[in-house]
Amino acid sequence: MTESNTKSQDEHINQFITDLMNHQTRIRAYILTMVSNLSDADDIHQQAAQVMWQKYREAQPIKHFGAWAIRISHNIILNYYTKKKELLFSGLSKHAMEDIANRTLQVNDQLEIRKQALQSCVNKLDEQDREFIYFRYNHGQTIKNTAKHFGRSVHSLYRSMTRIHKNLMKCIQGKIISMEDAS
Amino acid sequence: MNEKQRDVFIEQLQFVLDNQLDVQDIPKLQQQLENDPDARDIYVEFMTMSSLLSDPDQFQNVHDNQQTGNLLREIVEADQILSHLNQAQINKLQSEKIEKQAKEKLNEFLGNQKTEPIDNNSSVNSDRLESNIRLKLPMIKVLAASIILGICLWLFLQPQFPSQIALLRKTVNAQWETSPGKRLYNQPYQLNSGLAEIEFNDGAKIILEGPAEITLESANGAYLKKGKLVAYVPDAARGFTVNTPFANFVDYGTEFGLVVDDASSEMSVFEGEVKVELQDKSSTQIVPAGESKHVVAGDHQIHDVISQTDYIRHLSEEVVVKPMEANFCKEPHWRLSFNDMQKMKAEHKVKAVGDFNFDPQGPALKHLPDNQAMMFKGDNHLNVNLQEQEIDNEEFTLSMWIKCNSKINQCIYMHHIDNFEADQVLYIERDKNNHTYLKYLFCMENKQEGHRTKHKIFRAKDYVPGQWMHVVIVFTKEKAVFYLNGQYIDQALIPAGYQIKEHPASYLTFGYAMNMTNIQSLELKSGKQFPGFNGSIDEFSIYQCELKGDQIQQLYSQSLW
Repeated sequence: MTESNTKSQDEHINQFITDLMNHQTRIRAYILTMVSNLSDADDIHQQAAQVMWQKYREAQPIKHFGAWAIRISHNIILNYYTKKKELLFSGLSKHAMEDIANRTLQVNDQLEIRKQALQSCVNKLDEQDREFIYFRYNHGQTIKNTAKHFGRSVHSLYRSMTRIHKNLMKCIQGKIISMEDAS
Repeated sequence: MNEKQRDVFIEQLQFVLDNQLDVQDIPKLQQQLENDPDARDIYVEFMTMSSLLSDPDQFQNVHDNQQTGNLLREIVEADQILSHLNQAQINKLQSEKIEKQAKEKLNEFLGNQKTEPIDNNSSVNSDRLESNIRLKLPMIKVLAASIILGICLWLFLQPQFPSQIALLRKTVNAQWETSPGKRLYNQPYQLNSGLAEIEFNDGAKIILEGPAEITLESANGAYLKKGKLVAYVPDAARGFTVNTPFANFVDYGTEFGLVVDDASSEMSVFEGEVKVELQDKSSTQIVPAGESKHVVAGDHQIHDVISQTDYIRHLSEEVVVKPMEANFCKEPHWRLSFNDMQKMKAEHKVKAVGDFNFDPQGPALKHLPDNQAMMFKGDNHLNVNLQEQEIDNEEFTLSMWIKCNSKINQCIYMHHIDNFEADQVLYIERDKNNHTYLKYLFCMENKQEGHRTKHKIFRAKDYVPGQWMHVVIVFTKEKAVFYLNGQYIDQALIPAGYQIKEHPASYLTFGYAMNMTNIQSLELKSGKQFPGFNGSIDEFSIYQCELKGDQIQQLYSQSLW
């Protein structure tokens, strides 16, 4: 391989990494919403990243990386539906699924604002609630394991998490409205 | 949707997120999503928020230093793992090539110049690395698994600890080098004689005839180093592959026989078709039913052959596979040593909490490649969480070396919670007469009677702080037996009605006892806690069988120099 080929390949890889990093939050949010469980979403995210790279290295530069990546992820998700029959989405009509997909894309358009709002809302939680959220999500733990870690019953932690999520959702809505009003 | 319905809906989404929603609750939730646009809105809001919360950089402001530090360690450890990969797992030449590419990509990603690549022996420029990681933080996990490390680093990072991929269905006079038990894992097995029927998770079945050496590689494939097998592959398992030292055999939904010795592989197709591919990929053939092929070491051709080999295609005598017997229980199923722990940390199966170091003065065990022990200083602990592990049988043995440095009254070593119904705790306690005991306590919650009960405590008197001890606890269906330094100490009946539900390594903590659990409420006054552990632990192992007294004595005496 010549030096210029190597350089060009390196640039190609670097461009792909940059594109993927710029859009990965959006891709992941889409996958999780359409798959609905964290563990499968991670697997599909990894699988999608691999497929994207395979296609990317063979293709001309991609103009709209985000839309292209979502389309690839969507195809992988459809394949996943055919393998897993017991999914929440398996009994939904095409209309309902498309509606959820469209709502997801609309929400994803505000992802940066939502991210900022969420960060501020999480910081407003009391320390114990923040620790629950931190352990569950940042450590990638199930509710059951989170309950064990904090010495709580699983049932009571489900209740607590419902309260925390409800508060966070309400807080985010409030922030988005005030941000939109301000602008 | 009213407030209460909204609460119930959000609570159910929590279950969905963990894939824990009861099957009978799914239709109701589906109906809500189908018919109620509000429900769809809440669903999308909830999932989007959960995705953002599980985004690695969400908590960067809150736990910035910790997060960056952890990731820095993960990256460095990933590189270390890369350099300690088990080359036998995959083809050596291929692995070296990919490893080289992977290291180059890792170096590029971390912003190192080619003149100063990451080297296991060199110190890392932590400032530059940290700033690069900070920028590139969100994608590290995904990219490390797929792209950065030469697209397929994940091939190398196959679980260090076996995952179950097949079941042993029947055996006839089977003599194993090490009895495998009913569940089979992605690891090598040696059948010295007899027959064994193995069903892979994807549906293929093989009848293995001893003597044979086989490595189960995946839910749909194996590596046969030596021996004979017949494979029956239903449509669902098309693509089932048997690799051998000289050729690979890919099944297209059929039945075939294969025999491998030191110099050749011979394969006969009984039904359907099989693809034969030489190891160097120089030749490939599709072999139809009724034909046999022969591949010889060093000969780059696939030869026709009239097979003289007799294959056993059905097992007439059915023998129910029993859990492994003590005589065959030679190796631990699961071990936590210094070397293993580095890999487990990278796989998130072990999490160190607090400042964590290793004691270079571990027990001098002659069979170990390292003598470093996990060191606890009272303010750190270690969580082990192998979520995928299930109980294989009802017998297992815990073995460990422990040393307590402190002279305080209580010192916790290990805390295992079984499905929140029972606690098992190993600790040291000093009584008012100044006798020091090593104690093992078993507590359980009696749900019917609504109270907690404390069961038998094993006690070893006059333990001397600062000395290494070998502790073994053997669980069977009926009892638990306690050994110290190879000697039997005590035993207790397992409380009637209690059945161990989770694997001992499914949720295990070293150096710390959880708050508000059975052990806390029974053993300590309200509001107090066990003090943190000050000492060391090494070679924590779980044998999935009942070790007998003479084996434990042998394990202890053979371990020492």
